Amino acid sequence: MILEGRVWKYAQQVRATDLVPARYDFIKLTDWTECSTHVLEDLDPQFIDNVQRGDLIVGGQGFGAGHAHYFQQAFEGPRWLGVGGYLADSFDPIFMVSAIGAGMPCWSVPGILDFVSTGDRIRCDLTTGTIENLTAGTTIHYRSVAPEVVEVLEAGGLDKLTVRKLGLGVKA
Amino acid sequence: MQMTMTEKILSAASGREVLPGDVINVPVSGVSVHDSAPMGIFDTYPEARVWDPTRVVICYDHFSRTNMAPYHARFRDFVRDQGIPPENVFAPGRQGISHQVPGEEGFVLPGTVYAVFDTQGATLGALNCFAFTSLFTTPSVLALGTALVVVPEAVDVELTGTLPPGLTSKDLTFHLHAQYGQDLIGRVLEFRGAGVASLSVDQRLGVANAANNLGALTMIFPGDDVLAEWLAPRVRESYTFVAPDPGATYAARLTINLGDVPPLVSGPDSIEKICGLGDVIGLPVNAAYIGSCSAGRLDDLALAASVLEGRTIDPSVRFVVTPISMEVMREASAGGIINTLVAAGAMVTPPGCGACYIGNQSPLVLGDGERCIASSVSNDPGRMGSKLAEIYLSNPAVVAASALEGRIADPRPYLLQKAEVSL
Repeated sequence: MILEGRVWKYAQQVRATDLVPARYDFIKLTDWTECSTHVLEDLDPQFIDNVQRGDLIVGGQGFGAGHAHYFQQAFEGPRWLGVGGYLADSFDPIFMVSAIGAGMPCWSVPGILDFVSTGDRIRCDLTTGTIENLTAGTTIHYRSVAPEVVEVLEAGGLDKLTVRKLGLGVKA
Repeated sequence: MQMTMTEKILSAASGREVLPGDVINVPVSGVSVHDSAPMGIFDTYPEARVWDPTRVVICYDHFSRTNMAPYHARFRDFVRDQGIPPENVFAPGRQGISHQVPGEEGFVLPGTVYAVFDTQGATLGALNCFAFTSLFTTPSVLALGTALVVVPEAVDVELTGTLPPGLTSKDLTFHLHAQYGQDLIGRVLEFRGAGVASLSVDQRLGVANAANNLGALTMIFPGDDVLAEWLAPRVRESYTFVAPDPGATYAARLTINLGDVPPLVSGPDSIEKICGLGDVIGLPVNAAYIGSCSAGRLDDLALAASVLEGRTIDPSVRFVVTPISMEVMREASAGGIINTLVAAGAMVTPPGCGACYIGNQSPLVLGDGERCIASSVSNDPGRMGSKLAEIYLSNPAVVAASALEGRIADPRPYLLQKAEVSL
């Protein structure tokens, strides 16, 4: 599975409520189109007007941390906007599994902040654990994404994978 | 391999040695779901079946108003269609919070992996198990009996001494957050040391409840005589305590003398804002709340009652108490604690999430410009009503003393007077 796109790098801890501010409580509204217009609104006001489909958000330690009430909007908003995935030094483990479960790629790549800058185009092979920085012409190898995660992402999320595993919804 | 408690529990459940960073589909021993949980594939595919109906617990905790009746009807249908035993369903009369009741009722055993839909599922880690929130992956866990988990690193937390009088798990977790927050993100706190025995199971549940607020995956308390005694009348199956190996690898090691923990307050607007009680003494409050999965247990209500006994709250304060479960309500009633609270001027509501749930179903709803002192989980703007209200969080003794004075107050003089009287 390959992710390719431009990088938006934030070296600090990117919290769930940085991805979509807490003042928009979309868990009650579940209007993900509207939600997607508020992505990174406080942290980087330039983001929303310049993001392109497939772009990747790169962060530091503990990406996605915060109260789990705000997790869903923090991956549904960017996903509806076309963000291709999250890479970070490390993730909040509950955020990470929730996002993967919803079909949003995320993976921990220690040292990623030294390898990319905002605007670089990168190509990330989840299965082999290789990231090419196409702008800088460099390559790094990291711990490849676990097959258990690739399986979920390729199915389009955990619910879809579960339905397939249980043989539900298949016309005889 | 020398293993942490986390590694031991997850290795035993998954049938192979696991290391931090491994991704596993780990079999769970049970799942607890509350009444506002989205049921995903079970709504879409009526023919979907839970993997083992006897291991599913349903708790009514978030919704109490009658206009939420359709949610409860939906769960009654789910319970019937899935063949979940009636004794696993904690509806009004037996209700309580989804990450308290499974422990009280003996569904959660030491050494096991236990999944909870609610964000605060780590609470049950007080019972020497790996308890965690499966959050939006819960329908999949219910269907398959396995959960997707990234094996976390663990932090060794040695506790010594005892908490000063009038302080609780609330102060300890604020202290952990303020002093060691960055060491804890994404990890599991594994407790040990002579100080553990001084914490009741109620207090341990209160500590483990804070995992989500600290950004930790969960916490695991060791097995000991205090826990064994608590579990004895409850457990439904035999169990064995799990302990770490002496040479286990920890990502960090901390030692906390409980006697050094100061009284602390968090807020307003963020759990990250933590200050000494002394820094906010005297701020006027309009509302006071004791309850939630953080501090609505018998210990918490008893401590509040010892501050309030024979006293009357300030008439300008709306003071509401919500026990965490019917078991706590029954014990607090039998022990006279409810009488003391009500006599002082508190409104005691049926058990549940009460005023803490972000869709607040409690009679305690904050208006613009109000200030509340609460023993609950979160102080995000809008958590208890108006986004223009301020929420400060503290232990229940501080909440009780503040209700008496109409401003944030130190409970220790009240507790001291009571101690002198009883001598």
